[in-house]
Amino acid sequence: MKTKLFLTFLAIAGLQTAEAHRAWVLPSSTVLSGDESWVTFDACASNNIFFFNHRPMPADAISAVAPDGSAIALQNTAEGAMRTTFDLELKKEGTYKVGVVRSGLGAFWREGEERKRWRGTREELISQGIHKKEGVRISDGSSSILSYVTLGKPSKEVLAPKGEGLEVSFNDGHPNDLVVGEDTVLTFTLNGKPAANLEVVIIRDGDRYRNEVEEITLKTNDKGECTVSWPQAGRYWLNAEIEGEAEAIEGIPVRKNSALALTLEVFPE
Amino acid sequence: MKHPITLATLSLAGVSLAQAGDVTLEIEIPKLEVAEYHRPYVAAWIETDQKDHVGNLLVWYQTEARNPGGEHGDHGEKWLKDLRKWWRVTGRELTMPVDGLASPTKPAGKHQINLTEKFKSLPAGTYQLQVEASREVGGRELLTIPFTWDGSTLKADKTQGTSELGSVTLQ
Repeated sequence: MKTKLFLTFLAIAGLQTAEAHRAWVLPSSTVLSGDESWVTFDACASNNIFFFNHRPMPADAISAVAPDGSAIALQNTAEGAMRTTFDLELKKEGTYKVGVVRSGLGAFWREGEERKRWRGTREELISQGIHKKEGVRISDGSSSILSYVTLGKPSKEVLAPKGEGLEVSFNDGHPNDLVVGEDTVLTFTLNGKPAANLEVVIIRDGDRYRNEVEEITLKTNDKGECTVSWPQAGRYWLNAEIEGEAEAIEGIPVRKNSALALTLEVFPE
Repeated sequence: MKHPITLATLSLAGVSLAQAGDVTLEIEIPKLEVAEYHRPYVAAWIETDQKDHVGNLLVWYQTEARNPGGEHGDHGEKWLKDLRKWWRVTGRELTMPVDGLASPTKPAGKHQINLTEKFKSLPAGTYQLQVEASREVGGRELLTIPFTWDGSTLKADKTQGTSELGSVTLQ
């Protein structure tokens, strides 16, 4: 259970930094037709984009939201050594949101040789005296690792920002309506306010067959906006993070981290 | 110079002047020597020269499920999204099958579709005919034929596909 706890903590604390690998949820298809359809997913933290070579995403951290906002159950869920897989049966037309959305506090410290980890709310942390542990490091993180899939006509209900953590909006566009030759304007918000001057990294699938990662790095403007020109069709992994300081707990600094990862599929003209 | 493609290509070979009011679309599905062949899905529709959707002409797909009522009974519509351009422009807005639009896939050969009735309601103007084909375990091809329609007379080019479509003629 060691790895599971570790990754759960990473997801909670939003520590998707270099040492924490890249986290993603990858649907088999994002654009579907017919009255109903199955989609299968892989969920993982890995070194390479959409290539499972590290750790599975904890299955209990993953959820799916139907176009009407209701939760739908993951099916055939299996947490393997290197990846988690699950299926969704889409029965309603529209756009589904699938992935991990979490927030909370995490703490790291050592007791002798033993590395200790803890997670929970700010109140729990204080009441349990975690902040008094020697050498404790505390993070207050929010993390979203998302994908979208659409059966039939795209809908927008599940895309609406909730005003919590780092979020991205597609404005007049839609994450399941991306085509080479059409620029996509993205608007990033942190707790509902424009995330200005934010660095956004976008990496195309297949980096393990390239000598260069060929990442696209964008900066948001004052309104939190940036524009993506898709160089070619394929699957892309988008990532953005904001780090800062949260309110200290009795003099112990609390590191603030908000992270967003999103899987996108871009089609040829 | 609003329609440079139309004007430029009309001066070349292949111009056809239809008889008053009669409109026929001919789509050739090429015979392909491949290990696994499935008839292509084909859609044809009309756009303005500004790429606004005007109307659908046809969709050929597997209208009857292989196992009706079975677990995968919706087999045919499942692949409609592979007519990617058509799906995005109009297909995903429709509830299939649409009368007068949907018909089964066609074998290799030349297929004539009478569009006289559909063109009666088309206002005079400059348009583009779009023909898209997508084949299971095969490729996809999109052809565009610019044309002008004055209410009774059609001026259009013939075009030739290179992979999933053969000749396409609007006359």
